[in-house]
Amino acid sequence: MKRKSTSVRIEASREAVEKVLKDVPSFVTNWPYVVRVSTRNGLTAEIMLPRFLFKFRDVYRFEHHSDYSSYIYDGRGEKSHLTLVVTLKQWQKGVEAALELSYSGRGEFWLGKTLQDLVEGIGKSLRELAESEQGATNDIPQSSGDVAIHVDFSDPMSVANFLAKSRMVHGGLHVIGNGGLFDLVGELRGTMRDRILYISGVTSDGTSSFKVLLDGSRILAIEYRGPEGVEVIKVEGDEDARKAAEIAAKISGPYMVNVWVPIGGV
Amino acid sequence: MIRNMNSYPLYDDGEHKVYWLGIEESEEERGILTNQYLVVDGNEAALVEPGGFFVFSRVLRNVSSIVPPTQIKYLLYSHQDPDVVAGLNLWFEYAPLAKLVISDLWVRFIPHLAVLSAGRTIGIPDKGADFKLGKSIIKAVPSHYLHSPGNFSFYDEKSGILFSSDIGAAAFSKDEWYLFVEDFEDHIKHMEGFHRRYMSSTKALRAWVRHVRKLKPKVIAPQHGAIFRDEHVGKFLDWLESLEVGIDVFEKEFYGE
Repeated sequence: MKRKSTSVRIEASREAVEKVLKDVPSFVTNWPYVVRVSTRNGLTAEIMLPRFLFKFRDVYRFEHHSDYSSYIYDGRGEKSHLTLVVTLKQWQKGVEAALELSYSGRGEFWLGKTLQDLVEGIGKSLRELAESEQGATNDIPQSSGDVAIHVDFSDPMSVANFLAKSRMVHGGLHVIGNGGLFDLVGELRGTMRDRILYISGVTSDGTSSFKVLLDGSRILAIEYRGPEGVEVIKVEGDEDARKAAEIAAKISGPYMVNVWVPIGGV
Repeated sequence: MIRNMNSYPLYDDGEHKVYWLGIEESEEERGILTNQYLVVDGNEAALVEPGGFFVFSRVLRNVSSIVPPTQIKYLLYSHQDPDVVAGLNLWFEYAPLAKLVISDLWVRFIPHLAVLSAGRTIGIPDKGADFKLGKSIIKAVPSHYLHSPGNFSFYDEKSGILFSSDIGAAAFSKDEWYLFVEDFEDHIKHMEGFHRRYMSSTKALRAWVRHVRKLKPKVIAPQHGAIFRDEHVGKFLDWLESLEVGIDVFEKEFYGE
């Protein structure tokens, strides 16, 4: 028998994590390498474990057991047996889940790395599903103006929510001089009355890009991707505002620039 | 609700890779889940059927775990349905160097998605076109009237995968989902109703099948439902060739004798 384990920290409530673990068909569907799920006669899942050029395929019939802190998923296949045990520990701001996967049967001596990938992938899926569950609970419809305040470039969905309620009003090539981002903003403001502007730019080779959200001349959020990495600031205080201005000062050169403005609605 | 947040590799020869990018179902989709695909060749990528707003987060995360979105050269849209194009303004920003590729017929509608797309849109002529991706070619294959009047499938020559738009779409029941078709006869019941009603013309369908047979695809990957490979590719094309669809089936029902 091969055993592989991992643990993940999840920024969500214990209830959100348990909701994911108790919805067994949905949880198993999100395991890596799962290519078929049926709940017609109990839960069965087909899993294709890749190793080199081979794929070890089996159909597992799952049984699920749980107690106060552990969730067990016992899958019996025709050629192999797979068991996952998830143990939860609650922390102040989240949950730690310890996952142990055991596998016996066909290909077990070959599949060590694949099984490690599988258990780590299951942990990643658990974290993402639980955190999105938490996010869904917290989601409240907001007007386009409110959405702008919540834009954080480290959270693509906050940007997507803003763009979904915006329209693009300008696109073109601009050469930004050293420390000249606000010269560009001034130039754009000459033709646009909107207080809130979302401006993005990318160089022609894609090696540098920026996104900046402005309320008047105040930076609400900024992201700069350059050769040295990514810098992201969501401005919530004076120190953030100072750092955002420093990042803005670094942006220079020829950029393809897009400008978006909110169009209202919820 | 069916939801799979993971990507799955469909082809990988080291230089050229193709991924299926997961699925999730909105309350209203009633089992018709949308598939998105990513083709990567060297340092260039093409996102096939990028999808609507509510799948954006998953698709972006899965794409970003494979390539930086700035390496996306093409956003390939088979037609103009909302479940294909509704996230266009988001991808416009997150894949800032990508060109939007869609039938010439739909180019004039793109500004209605609130983007200024001039210079970033490639209208595909009715006869189709080739798109160079790294050292590989993706062919836009005419699929007009199946179901949209300006419709294309995309054929990735290197992997032999044909991204077939809505052709091959299947609606799963609540208690089942699978990525690959394993039992073709059983799978027909998930496809038949959709094809009869959504596909416009039997003649168009048969012309498409004839053309696709010449390409000899190894895999057919639709925008909804499960993927056909191995012997199921041939079975699927045979089934399509024998199918009556659209106005040829429904004329009397719609308009009477």
